[in-house]
Amino acid sequence: MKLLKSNAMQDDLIRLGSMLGLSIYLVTKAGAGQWEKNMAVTGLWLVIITALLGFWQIWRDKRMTPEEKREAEREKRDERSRMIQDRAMRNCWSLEDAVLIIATIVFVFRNQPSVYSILYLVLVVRELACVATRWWLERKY
Amino acid sequence: MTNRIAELRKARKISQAELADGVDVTRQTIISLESGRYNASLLLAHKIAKYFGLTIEEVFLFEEETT
Repeated sequence: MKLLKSNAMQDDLIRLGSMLGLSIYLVTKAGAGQWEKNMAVTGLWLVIITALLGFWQIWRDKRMTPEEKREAEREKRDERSRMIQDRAMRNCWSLEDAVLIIATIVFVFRNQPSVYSILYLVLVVRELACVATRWWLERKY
Repeated sequence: MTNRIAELRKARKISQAELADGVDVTRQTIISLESGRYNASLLLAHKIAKYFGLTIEEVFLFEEETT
């Protein structure tokens, strides 16, 4: 399908599909608490809104004039735009780290090993993945 | 690092959009370059200098050269 040619679109579809699946599972899971169901419903709404925004963007892109398409392509290639995107991703990564660390500490104090051990594992895996990626990139460049 | 992009552009009566088209970047990038909020990569600096028919050193001024 021509629509799925874009890698970014494939990534978005995989992410949305995963969130959709998780949300549906959490809502329908037997024994799920009210808090879990509320979170799952919130997640479902986010997936629906994101999907609608995605379809709206596809519809808008199809109606672009050749000049507008050229500008949009240039925006993607533009080095300043790429720099901004890279910095935004790095800042978000740092923010995620902070949130995970704080959450781990909170659950340690709440004495919930089932939660904090998973959070801690996620932190460790993220750092190892970062180190491995940097090592690979240093070899590549 | 400062630059003379705005000065050179106005002297040649070129708009920011025309310069952006000429070096294949967005107009916003040209605006950020001229205001000093963004430093061009070596490749972009080379493209801009070539567009004006000058060397990189004639368009972009490094700190030690201006003091």
